[in-house]
Amino acid sequence: MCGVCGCSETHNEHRHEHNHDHDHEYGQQKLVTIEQDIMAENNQYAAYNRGYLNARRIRSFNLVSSPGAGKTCLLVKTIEALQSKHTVSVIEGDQETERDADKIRPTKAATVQINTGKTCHLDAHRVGHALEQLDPPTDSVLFVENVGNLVCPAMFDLGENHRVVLVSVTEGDDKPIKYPSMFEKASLLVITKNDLCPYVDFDSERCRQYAYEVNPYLTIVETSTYQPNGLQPWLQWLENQLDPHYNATAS
Amino acid sequence: MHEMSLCRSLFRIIEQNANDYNCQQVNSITLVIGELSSVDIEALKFAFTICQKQQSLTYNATLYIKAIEPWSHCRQCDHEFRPDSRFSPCPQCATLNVELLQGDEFSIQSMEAE
Repeated sequence: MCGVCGCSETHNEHRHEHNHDHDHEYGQQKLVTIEQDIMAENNQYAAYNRGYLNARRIRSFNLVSSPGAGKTCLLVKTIEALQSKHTVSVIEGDQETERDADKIRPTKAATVQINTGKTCHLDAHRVGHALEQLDPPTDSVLFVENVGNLVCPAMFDLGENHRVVLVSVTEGDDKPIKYPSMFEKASLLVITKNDLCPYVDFDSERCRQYAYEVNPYLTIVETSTYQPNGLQPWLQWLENQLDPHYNATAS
Repeated sequence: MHEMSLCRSLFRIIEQNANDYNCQQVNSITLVIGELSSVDIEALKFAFTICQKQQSLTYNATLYIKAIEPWSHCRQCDHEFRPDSRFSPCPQCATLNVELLQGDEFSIQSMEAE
């Protein structure tokens, strides 16, 4: 039985290849050369997910943040903005409850909720099962809302095109240097809840500098779901990622 | 990080290899861990001592850890240096545009078994 999600590992495409190539025998004892990355298992599932999504031309985004940075709210508004032009599917991750999926469902985006129980991050194996359930159509958009946690999800590639990290202005502008692993592998930083700036001690410029220290290639936008056009920079970035011509020239 | 669940992945690899080579007893396991990897070595050692007692295969196995020294390359001036952290700037030109060449490994190199 799979120690990650409890499924039986009978689907052969999930078996990994052994890297070892020889062994030495001395007496009865053998030295078995293994040379295998311990994260290899998750990385294989991630590669499978990536292949699956690429084959269906689905652009995918893994939203990560501390709990309460505004992922679900941003996602609901984003789906409402995108839905006239794009088919959107969502994979929600939380330890317990369907509450986030319930907030997304009124948008009519197909949504699957993963409950991770004691685990504090999504992993590629669980996401693979959710994809099977979701069966997203070709040429569509997939959002994965990860479990609220700035530490552990950083280690787990899910097979997404882009990791998007959210930091709200209520959290402190030094988040990037306190949790560098998450920002190092992100494509985009979204600084959220900017309507609250007058009430908090958040220095946006300082946050940007800290973020660039950790990842010089990071793109950074600022949003507010409560201000007119408050999501425009985020939506523009998204449209660029979804535009096949933009990607052709950018890569 | 999750040294316990990392240990479970580690033990799955050990069991698979023991099975492939018809081994009943693992005497030692050698891991390669980069000095800048996000694995907490003390927590890993502790988790190992718990996990190894769960089956007779690994009950008395000794854990060896080979540390890998970190080494970075500056993309701007091509200088190579030993960084203090993943995000250490280049000592030559002070840029942050550097890449880690080695030092964040976390793999199982080999095991001795019979």
